[in-house]
Amino acid sequence: MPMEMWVCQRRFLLRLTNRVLAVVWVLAMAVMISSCTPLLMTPVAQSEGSVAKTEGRLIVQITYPTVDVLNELAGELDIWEVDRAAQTLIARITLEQYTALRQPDLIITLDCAKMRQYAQQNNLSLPDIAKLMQEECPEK
Amino acid sequence: MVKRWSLLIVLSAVLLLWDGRLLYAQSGDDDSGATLDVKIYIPFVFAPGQPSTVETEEALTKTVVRIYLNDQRQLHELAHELDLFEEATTNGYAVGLASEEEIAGLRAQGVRIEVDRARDGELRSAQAEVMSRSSQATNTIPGYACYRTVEETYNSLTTLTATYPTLVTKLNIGNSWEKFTPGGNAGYDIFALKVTNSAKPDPKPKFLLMSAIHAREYATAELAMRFVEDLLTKYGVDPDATWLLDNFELHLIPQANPDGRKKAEAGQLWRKNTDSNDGCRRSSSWGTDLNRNSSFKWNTGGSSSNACNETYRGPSAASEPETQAIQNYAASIFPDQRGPANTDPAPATAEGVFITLHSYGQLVLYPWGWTTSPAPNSTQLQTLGRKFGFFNGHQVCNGPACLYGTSGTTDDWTYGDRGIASYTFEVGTAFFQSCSVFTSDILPKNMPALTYAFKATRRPYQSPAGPDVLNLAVSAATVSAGTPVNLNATLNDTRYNSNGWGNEPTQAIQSGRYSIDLPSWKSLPSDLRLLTAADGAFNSSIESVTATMDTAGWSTGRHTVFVEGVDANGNVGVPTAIFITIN
Repeated sequence: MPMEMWVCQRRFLLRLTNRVLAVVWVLAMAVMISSCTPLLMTPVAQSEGSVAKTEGRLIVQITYPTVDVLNELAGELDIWEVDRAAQTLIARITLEQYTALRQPDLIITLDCAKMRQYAQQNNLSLPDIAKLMQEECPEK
Repeated sequence: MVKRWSLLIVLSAVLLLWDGRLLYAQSGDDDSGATLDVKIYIPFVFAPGQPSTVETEEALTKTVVRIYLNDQRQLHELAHELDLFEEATTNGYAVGLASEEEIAGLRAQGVRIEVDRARDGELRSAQAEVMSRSSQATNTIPGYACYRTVEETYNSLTTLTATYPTLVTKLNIGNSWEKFTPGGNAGYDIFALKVTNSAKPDPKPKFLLMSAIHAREYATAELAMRFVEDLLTKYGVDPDATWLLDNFELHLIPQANPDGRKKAEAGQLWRKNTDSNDGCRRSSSWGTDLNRNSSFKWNTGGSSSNACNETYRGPSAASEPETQAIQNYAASIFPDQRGPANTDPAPATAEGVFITLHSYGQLVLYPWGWTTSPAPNSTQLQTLGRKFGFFNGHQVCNGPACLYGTSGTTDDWTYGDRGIASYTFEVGTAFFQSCSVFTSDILPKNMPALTYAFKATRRPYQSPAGPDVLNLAVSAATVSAGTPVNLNATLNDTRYNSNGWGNEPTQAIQSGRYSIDLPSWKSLPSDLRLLTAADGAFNSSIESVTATMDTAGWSTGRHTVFVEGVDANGNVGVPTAIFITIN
């Protein structure tokens, strides 16, 4: 191997090694610091990057068929009111729950008055929520 | 080479410090939709909701001055330009507020004007006080001025402790999740208030009142605070408040979920605590429902395993520091009075009442919540509940019957684990209840119910079945020793209301009795004196009763007369008291 080529390769390898070492060092520093300070260990930090987009809520009336179903729903939903005689409840739910609850044995409708009352808390401006509001709670 | 490494070290350090030390922010999908859940590690000076002080500042820039008048016409002219006080000008000058510019302008026109130093000082003092109050008011919930924030509640606890040192003790019973968990927000202590006359240290029956375990239920903490403040202000003045605090203990946990409450105070419909460690990654949804986290029959239905759901029960029984604080405190003041089996009743003589205040629904709920089977003390729990229902007009039932099943609730724990008579009050008609409804409806309906709970705390499974004493009166409140005093009252065994959940059996009044200076349970049997039926016979569930008290031998000073009714089943009702002073 010519001397010039050897020197060139050596320089290249040295640079590469330096860069790799630099990256390793930065990563090591980051790991070391994160393990030393509680900051990066906070629960908030753990959930960083996995936080969902801004989420809306729906306030709905659900007509349920039986008390067993009511009890089942009560275990999962944020129920605000129950009318046992009418077999209805008012709950504040996520869009995900709304989709899951659209089953044949449940009648689910938006509580338009409460949706408007808690407009800010429910994020009515979100497209999905706004669309539902338009469909179920049209302004008179 | 060395230079490169140095540069790298410096750059890395800067990047890491910037990322870690100065600011850590995470975009939040909270209920308001626009706010950020920000973790700041530098002093945070933003004060949301602080009212404008422009008006006050403007007033402070003006000075109280005397403007000497040449004639009445000049007064009218000045009145258009200046803020003159509406008062007589008989001394030849008008008084008003003027800025430095206005003073200079008037002087330039040849008007004699002097600063009224005395009145200017008074005004500035008054303004300073107003400003001080305004700055305190920055903590109130926007739009809901009748409700104290967590900080204001805690300030009130401190004030009560200072104002009533022999009656009030403030206790730190644990930490909120934020305080318990390093690295996040500061969080809060959880405080309890013990209210009793500490000069009478003998063991006393205890009433534990808790509120705001569900953060968004604004009215509950205020109701609890108003109740304790009402009792304290009446101590020494009102006979019932006085004997209650002399003979019983009230324990109050007004802010059971302070972390969550702060979110609710910002307008979020927050229910749970703020525990973000349980697996839910949505900042608008994380937290544990503290009223599904208690250790008795935890995870037996009516709660969720999904950490994002509002009824999330937590990863294990009593996993949350708030739950632990509440349970440990309750266990420290209440002995276990019930056997281990689900069907073991607490004895009829068991002491202690627990009420957890929630909103809304206008319900009085009693255990069990975790099963549709009746609690072993169900009948007695129902009776006391119906007494509450008489006062507040709420439906009285157990959860699975009129609402739905739940497990891990605080009242199932206090009854199941300790055997004390336990209730959930669902007060009002909204989470963010208007102040007008709170004042005109919730307070007047529930204060008497809470007072009755306190009265019943010695025998909650017995005395509610007995008659109430009403219209208690004496012919003279102050007499000389030896002067006979007529005592009149009505004994009533009908004051129950389940509001749709069954009728309470009532009995005829069998007898009435009174004791002097000691309640019946502390008096000798021979010191209990009988009342007579005004119509000559005890044969009705409502009876007017009377007695003539011989005050001969009574010492000078104030005496307390305790009156009780007994029904045909032998149920002794709660006492009502009246003062008589011997001069």
